[in-house]
Amino acid sequence: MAGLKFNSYEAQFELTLPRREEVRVRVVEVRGLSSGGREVQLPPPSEAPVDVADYLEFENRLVRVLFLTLSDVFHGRLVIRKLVYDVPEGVLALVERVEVSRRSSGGETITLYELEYRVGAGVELASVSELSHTST
Amino acid sequence: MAVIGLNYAEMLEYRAEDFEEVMPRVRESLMPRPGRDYKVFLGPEPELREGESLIEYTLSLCPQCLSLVRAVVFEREGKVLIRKRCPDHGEFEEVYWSDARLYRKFRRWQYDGRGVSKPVLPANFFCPFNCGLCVRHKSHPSLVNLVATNRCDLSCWYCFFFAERVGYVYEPTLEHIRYMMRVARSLRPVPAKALQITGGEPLLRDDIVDLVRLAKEEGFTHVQVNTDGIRLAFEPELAAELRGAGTNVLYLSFDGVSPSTNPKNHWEIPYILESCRKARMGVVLVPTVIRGYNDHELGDIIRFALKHMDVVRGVNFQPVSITGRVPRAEREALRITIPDAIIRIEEQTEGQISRDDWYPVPSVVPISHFVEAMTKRPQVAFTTHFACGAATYVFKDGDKIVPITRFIDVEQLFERIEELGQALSRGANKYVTLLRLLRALDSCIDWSKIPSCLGGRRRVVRLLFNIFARHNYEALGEFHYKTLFLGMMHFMDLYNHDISRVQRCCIHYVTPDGRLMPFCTFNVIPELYRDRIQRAFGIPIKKWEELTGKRLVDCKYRRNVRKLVEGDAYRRCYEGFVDLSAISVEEHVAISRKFGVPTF
Repeated sequence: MAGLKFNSYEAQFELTLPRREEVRVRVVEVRGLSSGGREVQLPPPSEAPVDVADYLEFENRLVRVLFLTLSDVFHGRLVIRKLVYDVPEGVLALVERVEVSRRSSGGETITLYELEYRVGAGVELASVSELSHTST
Repeated sequence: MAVIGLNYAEMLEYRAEDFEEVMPRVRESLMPRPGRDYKVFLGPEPELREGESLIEYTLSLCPQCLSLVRAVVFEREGKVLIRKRCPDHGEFEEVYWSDARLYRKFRRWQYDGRGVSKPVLPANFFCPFNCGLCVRHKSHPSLVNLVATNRCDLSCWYCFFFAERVGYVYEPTLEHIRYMMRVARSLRPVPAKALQITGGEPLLRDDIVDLVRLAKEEGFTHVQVNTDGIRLAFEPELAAELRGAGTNVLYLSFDGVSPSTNPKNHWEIPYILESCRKARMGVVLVPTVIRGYNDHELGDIIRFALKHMDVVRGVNFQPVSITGRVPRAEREALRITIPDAIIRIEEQTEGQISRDDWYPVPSVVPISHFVEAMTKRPQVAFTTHFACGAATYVFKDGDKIVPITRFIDVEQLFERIEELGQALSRGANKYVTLLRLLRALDSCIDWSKIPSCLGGRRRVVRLLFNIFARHNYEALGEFHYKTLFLGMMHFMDLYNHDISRVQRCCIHYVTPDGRLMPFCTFNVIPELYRDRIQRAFGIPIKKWEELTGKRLVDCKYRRNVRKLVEGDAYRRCYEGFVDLSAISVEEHVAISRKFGVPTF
C-alpha cells in the first residue's frame, strides 16, 4: 500500500441543460480513518495537472453525487483543479467532504456531501451522503 | 475481433437462464477498448469565429477515427451548427438544426430523467464507449428495439445491414430473445414497457407470431413490428395472427405516395393496409426523409395518412441519418433536419400545419410527472433530448387539417399540469387536484375551435380526463383513434453526433449479450456496437443454410407489378395521389427494377 495517492477535485462549471446553472464544487476536508474508526490526519495536498484519467474519475464521482456527466460539465467552461493527497499506511478509509453550490435564476443552493472511500489496493468510492442543504 | 470462443450454432439449445449465465463474460470481450478502438482528446474547446454566437460546448466524435473530441454548438445566419476538431483528422462542421428560432423554442422544454437505478455496466470507459447502459444515462428506455433477424426480403442499395451483405445470419433463438426481453424488463425504476421487433425484415421469421406472444408473456404492454409489410400484402391471415398475439401497431416503412419516392413497397402498401384493416391492427407510417428525394411529398404523406385514418394511427418522419463516411458536398445535398421537415410540411399543407404546431418530445414530461405523483409509481417519461424529436396531433375536420394546438393552449396546459403534479408530490389532495386539472383543461381549450370529429365539450373533457385520471393504455388508445399522431425523430450520425443527446436517449436496442444501447450509438458506431455484436452472434450463411435446410436467396421478394397495379385496392388507395393514367405499367416495372427489386 506504500505510495498510495488520493485525488480530490475542485471544479467550477456552467450547466446549460435542462436549465442554466453555475456550479462550484469545493473540497472542505479530507481525512483518513484507520482500524476502529480512528481519525488520521493527512499531509497537506499538492496540486497536479489534470489528465484524461482524472476526467473519468471526476465524472464517476459527479455522477454519484449530482447525477451530472462530463458532457454536462463541458457545456460551459470547466475549471478543474486536482489536489493529490498521500495516503499514510494503516488508513482503511477516506472521508471527503465537498460543498456544492448551484446558482440559477431561481436562487442558490448549497449542499454539503460526505463521500466515503474504501482503501485497498486502490481507492474506491463506497458511499455518498448528504449532510446539509440550504437554499436562498 | 477476438471474442471469447463464441459459436452461436452451438447455443441454439440454450435456455434463457443459460444465456444469463454466459453473457456477462461475452459482453466483457465485446466492449470497445481505448487505444485499440478509439482515442480521447479533451483539449481546449473549439473557437468561435466572426458572426457566430455560442450556444454551448459539448462532446462529439471524430467521424474518421471515432475519437472523443470537444465540439461547439453555435448559431450562424439563423442556423444552429456543430463544429469539432480532431487532432489527427482536422475540422468538421455540420448543420445541427436548420432553424435557430425553433431550436430556442424547443430548448425550453428540456426535462431530465432519473436514469436507471440498476445499470447493466459500471462506468469504466468514457461515454459513448461504455454503452450498455451505465450510470451516466439520464433517461430510461421508452421503446426498446429488438433485432429479430438480419435477413431481409429486399436488398436496398443503401443498406449495409442485411445477411448477404455482411456474410452471416443473425437470428437469435426464441429463448435467447426471452433472455433479452428479461434484461429490458428488469430495468429499474421503470421497466421497459414498449418493444419494437425489428430487423432485417422481422416478418421473415416463421415464429414471428410466437415472438410477439413471448413479448406479451414477458410483460411488454406495447409491441410494435417494424416492417416493410410485404408479406402482409399477400398473407392477410398473418396480420390477423400478429394482432391476435398482441401486436399493437405495425411500424410500416413508407417513404412517399408515388412509386419513385417509395420504390420499396409502394405497390404493396394498398394490400398491406387492407390486411391491417381486416385484422383491426393500427399502422404508423415511417418515412425516411431525404432532401431532394422525397421532401416534396411530406404534405401528401400526411394527407394519405388522413385518408386512411381508419387504420393509420400516425406518421413518424425520420430525417435521414447519414451513415458511414460521406464527403461534405454529398452530406449537404442529402441533409435535412427536423426544422427543414417541419417547414416543408407547413409549405405543403398551405399553413394548415405550421411550424408553431410542433413541440419537442420532452414537452409531454409534465404528464408523466403528474401521473407519477397521482399513482406514486414511477412512470415512463419521454426525457429525451429536445433536439431529437418533435410531435403534434392533427384532426380531420371535413377537408381541413386541424392541429391540436389550434384549440388547446398546450404550453399553458403543460405548465399547469407540471404545477399540479408538483403540488401532488408535496401532498396535495388527490381529488381536489383532479378537479383543478379539470378546470385547467377547460380553461386551456378554445371550445369554438374544437373539430367536429371530437364531439361535444363533455366528451372531450372526459377523454382528456381519462388519460390523466385512469392513466392507462386504453384511455390513451381512445385518444389515438380520433386523431393522427405526427412525429419526427432525427437519429444522429457521426457528423452531428452530440454526447448530450446520447445520454438522454429514450430509444434503445437490447443486444444479445444483454446490453441496452441508445439508438445513436448502436447504429452510428456499428463497428463498435451493432456489427461487432451481431457478427459475434451470427452464423455463416452456408452453415445457417445447412442447419435450417433453407436457402437465403429464397427469402428475396420478386414483384408482380402488373397484378398489383391493376388491383382495385391499389386504385382506391392512391386515388388523388397517383395519376394512374400518367404512369404505364412498364414505367412502374422500371422504377421497381432500378431500386433493385426484381419483377416478373
